[in-house]
Amino acid sequence: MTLPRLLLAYAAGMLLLGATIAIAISPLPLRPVWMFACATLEAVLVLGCFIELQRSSPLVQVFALGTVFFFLILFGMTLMDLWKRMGGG
Amino acid sequence: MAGIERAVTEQFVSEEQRREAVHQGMWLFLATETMMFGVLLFAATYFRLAHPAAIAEAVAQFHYVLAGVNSALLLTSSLTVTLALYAARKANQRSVQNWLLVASALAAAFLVLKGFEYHSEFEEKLLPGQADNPLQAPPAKMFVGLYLVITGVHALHVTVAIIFALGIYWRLQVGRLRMPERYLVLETFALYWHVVDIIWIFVYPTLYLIGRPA
Repeated sequence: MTLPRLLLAYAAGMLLLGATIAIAISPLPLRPVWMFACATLEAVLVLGCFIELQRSSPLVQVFALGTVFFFLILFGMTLMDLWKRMGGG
Repeated sequence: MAGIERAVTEQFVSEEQRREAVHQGMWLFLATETMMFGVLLFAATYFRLAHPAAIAEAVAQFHYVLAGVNSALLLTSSLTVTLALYAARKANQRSVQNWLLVASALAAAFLVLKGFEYHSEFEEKLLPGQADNPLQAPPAKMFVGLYLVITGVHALHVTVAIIFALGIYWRLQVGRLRMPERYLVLETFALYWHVVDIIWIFVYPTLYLIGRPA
């Protein structure tokens, strides 16, 4: 990863952080979904650009992605929460 | 040089094999870390599902702007750790040390802000066991307890990361570590730092933002 791309990734991470806060205080519907989408993108940026996970072997990549597994479940639970609030299930 | 270890120790056939083994071991450790935080965040989500009104009452009391600044500090510190790696690849030891110091300072600033946050929560009588707590619902009080556990454990991880960063700085300073010969040490440390950052990226919306009134 070249330095300009790294700095671009950092700027994108900051923008996503700002977007997360803006969504939190906005009247936007489905706010938790958008917030977790921003957080997940931010984590992907850190994994891809800072850790440079793509340079590791497939086994290491599986371990790494396994570590974010629990957070993805949380994302699923957020969706369930929304579904419940919208009168589903 | 006496203080510098060999690049490949005898149980490995190549530097590449050593790198793979170290990375897998580190990711296994980091997986246990995220399992621990995963369980805590599960608990927070369970509370939110079971008691949405009470949790919204608790979330409204947290200082999300301070925590937002903290998120920016951690993200920036991740960038500086990556810049330290870049400098190590170019064998620029002085630059590695400088970036490690900047990362440590940013992480220390994170801890100071966290301290301010805890202090203001103490002043607002939000902490468990304080009389005249403005939170009425028991689940809201329990959520504050959970918030303290999650952010406290995370702050402990940040403290450990600072100790490691300063440890590497010191070893570079006294010549017990050289870059890029011992790049793997810095790379493994950077993994830990980035995962602590990633965990915060999810802790922030989970504890401070979801459920906050628009």
